[in-house]
Amino acid sequence: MSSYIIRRILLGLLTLLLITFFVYGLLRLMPGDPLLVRLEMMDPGKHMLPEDITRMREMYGLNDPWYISYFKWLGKLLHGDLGESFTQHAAVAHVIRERIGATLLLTLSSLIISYLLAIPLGLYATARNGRWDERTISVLLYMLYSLPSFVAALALQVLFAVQLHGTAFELPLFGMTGDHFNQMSFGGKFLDLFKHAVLPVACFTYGTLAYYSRFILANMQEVIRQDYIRTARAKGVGYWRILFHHAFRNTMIPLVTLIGLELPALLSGSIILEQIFGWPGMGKLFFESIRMRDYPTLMGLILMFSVLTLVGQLLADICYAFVDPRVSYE
Amino acid sequence: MPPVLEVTDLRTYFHTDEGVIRAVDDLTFRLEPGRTLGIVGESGSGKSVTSLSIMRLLSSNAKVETGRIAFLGKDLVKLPEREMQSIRGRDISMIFQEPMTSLNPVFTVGAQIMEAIILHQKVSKAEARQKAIDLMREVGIPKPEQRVDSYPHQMSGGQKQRVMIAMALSCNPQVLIADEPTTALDVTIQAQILEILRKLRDNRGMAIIFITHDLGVIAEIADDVLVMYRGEEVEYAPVLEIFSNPKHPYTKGLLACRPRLESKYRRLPTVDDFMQTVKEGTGFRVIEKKMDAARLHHLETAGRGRLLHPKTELAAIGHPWEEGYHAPDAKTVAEGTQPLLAVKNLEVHFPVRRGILARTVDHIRAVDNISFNVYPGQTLGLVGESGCGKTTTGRAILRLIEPTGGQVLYRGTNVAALSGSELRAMRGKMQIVFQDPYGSLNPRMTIEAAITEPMVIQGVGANKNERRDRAASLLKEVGLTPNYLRRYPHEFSGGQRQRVCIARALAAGPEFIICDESVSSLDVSVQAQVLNLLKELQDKRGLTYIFISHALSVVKFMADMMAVMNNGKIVEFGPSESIYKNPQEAYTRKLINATPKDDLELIRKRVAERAAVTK
Amino acid sequence: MSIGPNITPPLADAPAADPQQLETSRGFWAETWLRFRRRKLAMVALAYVLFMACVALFSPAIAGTKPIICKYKGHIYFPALGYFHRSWENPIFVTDHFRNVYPAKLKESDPESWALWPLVYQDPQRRVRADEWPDHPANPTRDKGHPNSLNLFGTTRAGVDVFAEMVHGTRTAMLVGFVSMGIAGAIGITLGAFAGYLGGWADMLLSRLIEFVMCIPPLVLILALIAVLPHPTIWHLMAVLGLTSWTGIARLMRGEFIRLREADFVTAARAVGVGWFGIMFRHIFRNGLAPVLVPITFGIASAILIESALSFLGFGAPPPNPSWGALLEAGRDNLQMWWLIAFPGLAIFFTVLAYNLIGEGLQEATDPRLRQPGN
Repeated sequence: MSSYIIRRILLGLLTLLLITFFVYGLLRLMPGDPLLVRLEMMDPGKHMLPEDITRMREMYGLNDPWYISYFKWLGKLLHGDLGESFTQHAAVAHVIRERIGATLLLTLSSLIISYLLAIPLGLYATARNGRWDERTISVLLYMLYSLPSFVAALALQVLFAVQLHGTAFELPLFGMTGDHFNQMSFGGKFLDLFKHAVLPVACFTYGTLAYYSRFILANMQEVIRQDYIRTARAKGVGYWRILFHHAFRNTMIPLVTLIGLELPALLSGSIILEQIFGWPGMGKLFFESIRMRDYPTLMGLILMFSVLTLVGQLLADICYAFVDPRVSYE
Repeated sequence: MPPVLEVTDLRTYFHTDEGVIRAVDDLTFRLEPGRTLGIVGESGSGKSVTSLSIMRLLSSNAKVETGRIAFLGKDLVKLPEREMQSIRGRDISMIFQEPMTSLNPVFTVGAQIMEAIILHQKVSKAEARQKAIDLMREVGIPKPEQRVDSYPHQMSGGQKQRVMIAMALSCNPQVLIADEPTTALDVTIQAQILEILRKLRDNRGMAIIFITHDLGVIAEIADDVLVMYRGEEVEYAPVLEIFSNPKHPYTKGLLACRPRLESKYRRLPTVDDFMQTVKEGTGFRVIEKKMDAARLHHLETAGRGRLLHPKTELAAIGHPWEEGYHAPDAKTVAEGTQPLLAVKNLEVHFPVRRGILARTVDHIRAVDNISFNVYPGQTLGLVGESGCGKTTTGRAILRLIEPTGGQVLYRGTNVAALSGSELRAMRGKMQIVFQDPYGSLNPRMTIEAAITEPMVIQGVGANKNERRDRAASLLKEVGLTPNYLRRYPHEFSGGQRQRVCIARALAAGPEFIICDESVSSLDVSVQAQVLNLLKELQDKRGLTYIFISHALSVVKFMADMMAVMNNGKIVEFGPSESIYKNPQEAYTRKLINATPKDDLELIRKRVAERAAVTK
Repeated sequence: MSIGPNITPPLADAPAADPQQLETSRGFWAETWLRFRRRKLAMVALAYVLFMACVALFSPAIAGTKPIICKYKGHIYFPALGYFHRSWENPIFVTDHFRNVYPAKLKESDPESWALWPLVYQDPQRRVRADEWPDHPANPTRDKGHPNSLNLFGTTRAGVDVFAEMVHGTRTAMLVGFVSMGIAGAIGITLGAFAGYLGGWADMLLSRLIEFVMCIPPLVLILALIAVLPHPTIWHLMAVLGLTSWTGIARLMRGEFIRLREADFVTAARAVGVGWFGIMFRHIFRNGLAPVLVPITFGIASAILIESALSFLGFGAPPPNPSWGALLEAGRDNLQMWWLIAFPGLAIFFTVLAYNLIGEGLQEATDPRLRQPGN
């Protein structure tokens, strides 16, 4: 097992090196650099002196060819330094740390809700397979699964911010906190946060929920056709015990892979939903960074995402060995 | 004695898209305590559906239409599911055919046995565990205290089947239904499992329903026999009666068509020699046919006698030619004849990789230094249990697996050293027929495409029409009608597909064919037809065969010379008859002893013993 | 209650038929189609997709301000083709200063002319002004453009008709799905097939490549790739989508090849001397293709989704290209104009749903476990 893990980690480091190299080149090849973008956005009344521009280019390391800059970046990374953000005048690690909380609030609560609902829903649908209620659930789940999150987000905004404007059900459109958040009591803060989070979390959750439920249902249907389920019935095991004990335990095996693959999404958030709801999370940070050509922040984000993806895959494989006694990495 | 189980007029039908299938049609039998009822039939005869009907484990498209299944007076057909649940596993238990898939892979075997105990008995967990260990010991699992915590994948097929038996016995049921419990296992393991079942039945006084397609196994274990054919009961009688005086033509056919170790036939009788079925309304009618003397004579004399290795070589392998010892029609290959195929020190090793760099740390010796000759027109049998390397040997000869070492000389040319184009030309001469008739035909190719493909590659036939005509005549030659050319394989039964595979193998006009378990997955009656076909083709085309099988009786019927394999090595090599009559090696003797026997003397002896026990 | 394996009695020997007549049996795809047809929802979805494809193909004839066909100064012209590509509109209309207002100009420049007009006189790119068309007032602007009899789905702030823009946006949606998945399918199938068939180093390299692509968040990669292009068009977008979404297909194809490489019928083909090319394409590919169709169909759905998401973020096709996502983006800043969200939102939803349903139907129609053994 340990030699397997070491092998995977070594391969993962190689992949990481390739990814960061490739992405760094890609980013630097994007037309426009941070200074040009900022010049475009600047007040037309102000001017930047040419020597200032040269000085800043030097400071940002934009005068070097990109592969030289990459190795400089890599060198700093080996010392644990992700560099300074071009736009926020703070360390990238700090910028990212600031945003993680907001994204985790969204993704974690959505993950917990979807698992809590998907497992009973999937099991119920399996048990009622072929009947009207299972059919209805399946069709509904299917529709939810196909509903694009940004469409749903807009529809919910229209409903709760426009149509219900002025009623008790009105929910805020943007942001994570209200205007006077700092002056609120603890309960007030919680309520404010809750109100702001309801719509984004709902939009975040329903797709995952639908996907997981359908996933569980499909796998359960596969598992209950197996010979060992018949063996359990021949022993005299009851219907529900077969579903929960014998079948679900086997369905866990593919479910574990999903959780592993979920890991990067936990921290990356969603570019589009965070954009719509003005949620100050990682997705929004990424979107802003790409528009401002903030290379260090982008590289930091992509590095984090790639590491998480690789770790998630490795974790999934290791969990596999725990859930499925047949798997061992000897 | 009052019956423990009584089935009356049972009809189980399947409702499918293609219509109603009468899987079990009007079945009646009774089972007394301490007795074993053998239900025998071929695939589709309804024997498994019968057992699932009793257990009420049918899939949703099947239904018991009429009939009564009385267990100690209770009609199981009408019992509420809840009560049925408490009967399953406690009063009636079941063992299934596939030990590989019938155990839940994520639970330890101990937990699975304990579950049945805890479900039906008021015992604590610790007691249940102790009971599970005792049961495992009873069914002959070594070190049960340790094995109780093993997962199914850590056990061999035979051990898994023992676990299944332990689980079925855990609540001391009155009826045990065993549905082909030994079919997936090697003969030596089969013999052990049968022994365990006999012992348990005698010790516990259980009633057993033993379902199988193998009459030999029936002879070994059953007291009464029920023969099923296409969902119907054709004969129901005590075991001795069935074997000594079969009444129904189907039973007669079934008994006659099996190659038996002591058989004298050169061709096998088939069920068609005894009966003919005609469609009648929704069902069918059986018309009995008489086997005439001419046919019998043909079966005993058609073709050639055994063709053994040259006498000098026989002497060299320790089976010297002795006048009068061999069958009168046996001959030897003339001295100095060149072997068609000479295998010399053939090795196939598979690497075992471990560690961070996946370095090769060890080898599995699938084929370990074997040598033999095959002479033109001969059939060489390779026999052994699963994993002995016989299939790998066959494939390595054809270079479908690259040999690690040694030579394969075909008419003096080393096949193992041929380059791409030379090898391709050689493939026209050497062919193979596989075991699984379902997997060995490309499902997306019509029969015509399958048969003409080798012709295109080997340059047989000038154009498409000519190749199609050849394919049509090949189909006729293997006993199919040429109008099947445009059909896809999925519409054919296993036997028909295997005939198509033989036609494909013949397409390029080979002189040497490897039959790799080619009849093992076929029903006995179909198996007899295919074996006859192979022999006829050999006579007509002068083919040379290597016949690979796990079944000693089939190999003995087919092969002139026989090689017994174990652990990648040839344990014993010699004329088939001699090896059977006078096995030199302990392993060969073990194989022969484990093969189920059905000669009447043995059955009589067993019946007498049983009568003494039950008195 | 039905749990446990499904057992169906095996086939009896095929019926002996008239030996004179050549029998044919349904091939795999005919059989698949039969099974697919039994699924009503999937059939409805297929009908919907075909309908949308027709809408895309005939979009200039459904909504537009350019004649489908007209006779002008003695020649026959098809100005509506200009909606497909600007150069397909005859330059004579530019030199004659039509400025895209055909009805009045046609009569003015050539009284003899005649024209066949689209069903709805509305333009996907500009506001229709007053009296361009008899009894047709100017399109409302700002937030006044509620759906009405002239503007079926309302108008945008600039007064462009939403219905017309959506009809022409169908073209984008349909094209994006097919082209990007065509690219992804070609890459995925080829790479997967070779990796699966060759194994060893080739397989190792492909697995790393897949891992590599998967480690970069898809939207990130797409945004970065699009940003690299100086003047991205809708075709670039499709190429980028195709280049980033082949991994799932490649993995599945690889798995199929690994599985089928060991199948007996492949060994049998090797035994008669079929070369590697024949093995890969005649034998394995044909059997492994069906499962790959399913992720391709699902992929079309997600390509449509990503395209509209990109347009929504402002990274989509440049402005003259009408797109559902662009309408949604306009709606986002004008939440009280619900029609800017409802109609394109529903269109995206139904299209994605339809492709998902077709994918599901295909999955069940080609699932080997639901078919007869070996088929």
